[in-house]
Amino acid sequence: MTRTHGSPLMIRTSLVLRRRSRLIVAALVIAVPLVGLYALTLGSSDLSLGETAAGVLGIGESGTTFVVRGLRLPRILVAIAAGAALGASGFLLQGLLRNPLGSPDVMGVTAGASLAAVLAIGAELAPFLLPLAAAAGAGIATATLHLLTTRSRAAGARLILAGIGIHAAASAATVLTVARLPFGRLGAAEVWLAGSLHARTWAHVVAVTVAVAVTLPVAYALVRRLGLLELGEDVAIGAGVPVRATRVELLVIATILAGAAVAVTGPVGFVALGAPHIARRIVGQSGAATLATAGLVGAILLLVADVIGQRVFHPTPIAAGVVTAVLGAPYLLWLLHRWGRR
Amino acid sequence: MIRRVGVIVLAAVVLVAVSAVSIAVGSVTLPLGEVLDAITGARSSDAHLIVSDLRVPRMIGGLVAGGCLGVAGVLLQGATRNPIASPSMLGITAGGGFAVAMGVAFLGLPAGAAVWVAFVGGAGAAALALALASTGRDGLSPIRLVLSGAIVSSLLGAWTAGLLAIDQRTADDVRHWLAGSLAGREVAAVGPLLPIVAVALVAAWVLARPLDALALGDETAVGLGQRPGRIRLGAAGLAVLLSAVAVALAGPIAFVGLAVPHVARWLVGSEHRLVLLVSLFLGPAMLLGADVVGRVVARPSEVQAGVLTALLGAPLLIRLAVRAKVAS
Repeated sequence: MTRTHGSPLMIRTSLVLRRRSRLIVAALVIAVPLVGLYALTLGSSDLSLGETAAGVLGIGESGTTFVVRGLRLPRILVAIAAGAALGASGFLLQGLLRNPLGSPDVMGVTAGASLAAVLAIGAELAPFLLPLAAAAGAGIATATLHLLTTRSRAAGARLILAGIGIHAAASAATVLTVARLPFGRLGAAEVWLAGSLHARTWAHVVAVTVAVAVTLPVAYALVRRLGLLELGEDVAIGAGVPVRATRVELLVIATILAGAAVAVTGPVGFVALGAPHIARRIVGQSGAATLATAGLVGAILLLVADVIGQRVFHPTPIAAGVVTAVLGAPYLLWLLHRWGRR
Repeated sequence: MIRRVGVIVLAAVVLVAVSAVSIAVGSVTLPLGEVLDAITGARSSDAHLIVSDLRVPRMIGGLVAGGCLGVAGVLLQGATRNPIASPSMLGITAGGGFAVAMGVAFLGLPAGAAVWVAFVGGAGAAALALALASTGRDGLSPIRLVLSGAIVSSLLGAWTAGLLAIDQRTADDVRHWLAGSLAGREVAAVGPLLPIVAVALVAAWVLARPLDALALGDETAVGLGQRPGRIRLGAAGLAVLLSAVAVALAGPIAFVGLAVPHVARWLVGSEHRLVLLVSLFLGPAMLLGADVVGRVVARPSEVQAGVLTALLGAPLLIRLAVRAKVAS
């Protein structure tokens, strides 16, 4: 009997941990639709929970059903899917860059997606192509990041600074593009740039859900190798992980997730940064449960931000992206502080 | 020596040329003859109105704001011995912008107080960035200082955007200015700032030699009879003041203070007096150049100068972050 299996106590702790993280994931899976249902009751005229539930099921009054199913449900579903995509994308990217600040919104990936999407709006591409354009923009930003990390071996604070540079350049180019848009396209671009969930349609729901449904299983399959990569390249190579291929696969998946989310919500900050941190706090450093938790927390964060935006300064609606930025920015500061003390 | 004088003269000529272009070119196309008539005082036409009421004040605002940002960048890079330090990378311009949006737009302070509000906001933001960067286990590192500053900037930027989202009415007045624009300046707004600028520039000139000593390292500077702490504090204070003037005039414009000192050092070497002089000319040249491009790139609408300086400066930031020889 070798001791590779660890002491009985360690096995028990890890079992307890696993059971605990399963419970947390289960609780979140229940919480997301509940928060969603509450969000469905809000709007220009508030409905009761019962009316809303009846509306969702299509068994209530026809007017209520129309409002709930036609207007509010797409918005809520987009928030859930996009929030989950952002949370998962941030989890993958932070793990890959081994940097707590290395999320797509800080590193210019979402800004690249925004730029591409605005260009697509200007080129009058069909709306269903918008997610593809955004993913392509995110891809270019990510490729730049990848080059920076591999060619120059920039790491830590330097890498984040370079990402902030990419973010600044892409944001400025976005403003420039919007200013050059023909008048007729301006409104579409500006609404989208505010990072608002206002007036989402079932087409948005389908676009983001397809992207998430295709990429999340792949992300799930990559999680074990990501965990080994986080321990260091040598460890990963020793464990038989094809390091280079895994990196590229992770980058591609994180990029598609971020691009798909940005395409349907506009640039929403902080969710991709904050959700993985919260997930790591409640279920531990890495693993499939952490990925799932990051996605679920992301969904809840975006839903809650949207509810806050609709409620707090009622009747003036505030875009969800503004809410996440205002509330998330101090957290970013605190994260930087903690990172320094580590 | 001759080469250095040549560079300074050349920088001055570039500035004059860009200034001239900034009067001649705008979102409204005017024939050059009409512009000249308008300047020489034939007060006849729309041309006169456009040139004397819109373009000239705008040029003057750009001259002052750009010069302030260039000099502030030199002071900060010298004081921190950090090539990535600049008013925007340390959160100073974003702090000033947030304070002005808060103070002038929401608390109703008079517009004339903007420079002092911006000074307080900029100093507060820089202090916050410094405090954050100093909490690291291995003390204050230059890279962490600019990273902290950049993150303080993004925090304040987000809050400013939040303020604007809440109050749409003031938003329209403030939003344009916050993006870093020279549009809609009045000569009257520049006048009261000039004494401040003059005093700060003289003080910067006096600090140039001590900064040269500081560049040799703290111990050598002490050996040369300097007090590094005082020099740093003085240079940083001046930089915040100059940035506040720029913020009051043009909003939180990024990357001018970062890029201009690098170009200046590349042209004349590292002696601070020369770098200051060249930056004093090149700062306004960059800002006015960006302003002119912004006027013509999206006719009939305009793109704020700050957007174009960011487009020019961000690649430099990426390069510096990856390459610069700074202890991380």
